[in-house]
Amino acid sequence: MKRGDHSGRMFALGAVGPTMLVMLALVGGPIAYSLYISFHSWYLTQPSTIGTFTGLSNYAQVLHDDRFWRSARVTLTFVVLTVSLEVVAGMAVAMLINQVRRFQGVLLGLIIIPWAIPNVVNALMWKWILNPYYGALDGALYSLGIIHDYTSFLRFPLAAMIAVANAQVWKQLPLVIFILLAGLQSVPLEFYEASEVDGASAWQRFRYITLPLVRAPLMVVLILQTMESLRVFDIIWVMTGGGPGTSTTVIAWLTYISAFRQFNFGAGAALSFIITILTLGFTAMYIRLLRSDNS
Amino acid sequence: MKRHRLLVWLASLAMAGGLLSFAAGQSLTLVGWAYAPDYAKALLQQFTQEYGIQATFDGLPSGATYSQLLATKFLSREPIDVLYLEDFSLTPFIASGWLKPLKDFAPPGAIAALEQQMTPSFVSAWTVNGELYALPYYQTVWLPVYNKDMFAKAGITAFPDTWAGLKEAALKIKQAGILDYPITLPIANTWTDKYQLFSMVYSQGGRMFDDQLNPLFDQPNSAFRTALNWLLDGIYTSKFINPKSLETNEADNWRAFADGQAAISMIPGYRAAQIFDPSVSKVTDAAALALTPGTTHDTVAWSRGYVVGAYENAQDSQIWDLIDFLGGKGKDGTYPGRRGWMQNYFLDSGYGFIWNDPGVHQALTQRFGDNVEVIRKQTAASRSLPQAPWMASWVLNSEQEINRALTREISVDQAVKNLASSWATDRQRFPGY
Repeated sequence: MKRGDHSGRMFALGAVGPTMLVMLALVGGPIAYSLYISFHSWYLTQPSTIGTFTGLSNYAQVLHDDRFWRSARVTLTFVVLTVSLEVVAGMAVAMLINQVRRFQGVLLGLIIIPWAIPNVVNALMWKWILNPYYGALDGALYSLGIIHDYTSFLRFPLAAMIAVANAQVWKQLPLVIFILLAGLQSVPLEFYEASEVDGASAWQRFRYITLPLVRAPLMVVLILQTMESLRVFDIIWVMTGGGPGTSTTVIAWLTYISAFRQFNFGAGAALSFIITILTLGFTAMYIRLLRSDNS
Repeated sequence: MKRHRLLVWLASLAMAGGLLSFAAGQSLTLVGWAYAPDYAKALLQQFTQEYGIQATFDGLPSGATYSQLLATKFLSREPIDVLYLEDFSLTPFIASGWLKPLKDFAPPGAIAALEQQMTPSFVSAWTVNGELYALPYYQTVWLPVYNKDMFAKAGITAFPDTWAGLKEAALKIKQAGILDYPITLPIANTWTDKYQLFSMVYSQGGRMFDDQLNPLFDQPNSAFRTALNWLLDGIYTSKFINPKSLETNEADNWRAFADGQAAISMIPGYRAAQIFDPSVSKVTDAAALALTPGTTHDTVAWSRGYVVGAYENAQDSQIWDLIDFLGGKGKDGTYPGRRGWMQNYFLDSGYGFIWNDPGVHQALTQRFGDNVEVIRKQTAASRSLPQAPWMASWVLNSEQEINRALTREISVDQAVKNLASSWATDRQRFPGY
C-alpha cells in the first residue's frame, strides 16, 4: 500500500467521521431506542410497568389485532394505487418533456411547484377543493350542470381513498418526472435512430430500448415512492382522519393512534418497525425484479 | 494577555447576566391551547399587576394534538406550573403521574368554599379519589339550535320534545320544499360524533355505563342502539339528515347552520355566540336554542379546567395564586378569570351564580336574548362521562367505530360489540379499578 493511499483514507475518515457520529447520534440513537421500546411494556398510563421486558408481545398484540390487518389492506391499496399512478404518469410526462427542446427549463420550473409545497399545505388545499359546502370541485361541477347540489365526496370510502391517493400523487409526481427525465436524457439517441431504421414501432422502442435503459432510475423511483406511500400520515391527518370509518386508516395512522391517543408506545414502536420491515421487503422485491443482467 | 483579560471579563459579565436573569426572570408558566391567546395574555398581565408575580402563556394547538403535545412535554419532565386540560384527559394524566391535586397548594378551606359555588357536573368531572384536581376554565353543553322562520313556514309551532317528533318536524320541512335535508349534524370521524350520540342516549334517560363502569350501551334495545339507528334512518332511509354530515366537523357545522343550510342542528353551547353574531351569521334573528328532545332532556356536558403539572418548580403559594385568579375567586373575590371569559367570550364559567353577575348577564342577554335561559336550563340538565384511566383512549377509539357504523361499513350490532370489546380490553390493564 502506498503512503499516499493511507493518508488519503485517513483524511476521508477525518472529514466524514464527525458527520457520521452526529448522524449516528441523531438518527441511529432514536431508532435504536424505538426498537428497545418495541420489546418492552410502555403504557404511559401505567408508569409502574414502563420498561418491563415483554419480548415480542407488542408485535404479537399488533399482529393479532383486526385493526392492523384492515390497515395493512388499506396501506397496500394506497401503495399500489399511488406508486403505479406515479410511475405511469411520471414516465408519460417525462417522455413528453424529453421531446421538448425549447422552454424545457420553464416547463420543469412549473412542474416542480407541487413538490415544493409542504405536505400539510398540499393536503389542506385538496381538503378545501373537496369541501362539501364551498369546495372548488363541487363549484365547478355545479356550474357545468353535472350536479344539482354540492356533494360530499369524502364520505364515500372509495372516493376518500382516491382523494388521498390523488393528493399524494400530485405532490410526488414532480420528483418522479425529474428522476425519470434524467434517465431518459442519458439514453443515446443513436439507439432510437437505429431502431427506426430497423422498422421498430413506438411501443417496441419503448419496451426494448427505453425501459431497459431507465431501469436504474425506475428502481430509484419505485423504492422512494413506495417508502413515501408506506409512511404517509399528514395527508390522512388533514384530509380524512383515517375515515370514513377505517377506509383510509393506514398503518402509519394506526401507529399514531396507538402511541399518542392510547399512550401505548410499545405497540406504536412495534407498528413503526413493521412499516420498516414492509419497506425493506418491497425494496428487496424491486431490486430482484429490476436487477439488470448481462443479457 | 490584554486580550485574555478582556475575554475573561466578558465571560464573567455574561455569566452574571445569566444568573441575574435566572433569579429575576423565573416566572410561572401557563400552558394552554391557543384560543384567544391575546386575552389569555391580558389576564396574565392583570395577574402580574395584582400579585407582582410574572406569568407567561405558552399556546399550543388545540384539538387532539393538545393532549399529545402535553404528553411529550411531561415525558421530558418540562416544569409546567398551570395548564388547561380536557376532562377526558384527567384520569390518564393522573395515572401517568403528571398532575398534582389542588390540595397540595390551596390554603385550608379554600377548595371547599369554591366547590360549593361550582356546578355539580364540574365537581364530579374533576374529582378523583375524593381529590379535586382543577378549577374551571369553562364548561359547555351539547344542545339543539333551530331556524324559527323555517319552522314557521312548515307550520311547526314548537320545537319537538321527542326524537320521533324531531324526525316528523324535519320531514315536514322537507315536504314543504324548504330544504332537501333539514338536519345537519357534525358526525364526521372526529370528537363530535360521540357527543352527538351520547347526548341522544342521556336525553332518552339512558346511560352509557353503570356505577361500576360496566357498559350499558351494549344491552339489547339500549338507548345507544336506538340513537345510532335514528341517525342511520335519517341519513339513508327517511333522508332528513344531510349526508354531508358524515364529512362535517364541528366548525363546518355551525357555519352551515349560520348560512341557512340547515333548519336544525346540534352545537356546543359556546358556538351559540357565533350563531347569534350578525357579523358572521345570516340567521341571527331566525335562530333559537332548545332543550335536547327526550324524556329527561339531559345532554352531555364537558369541561376544561386549570390543573397543576407534576413537575412544577414554583412556590406553592404562587401556583395557588395563579390558579385561583384564573379559575377561582381571585384576590378581590370577584372571580376575575371566570367572569372575564364568560362576559367577553361567552364561555360558561362552571360557577352557576356567575350567570347573575350584572356585567355577565348584560353581555349574555345582548348576544343571546331569551336563549340565555335555555342554555341555563340545559346546563342544569347535563351530565359528563364517568372517569376512568382508560376512558380517554376508549372515547377516542369510539369515534372510529361510531363512524364505521354511520358509514355502514359495519352494522350497529358489530359496532356495539367492538366498543364493548375495546372497553373490556382497555379495562383489563387496570385490574383494581
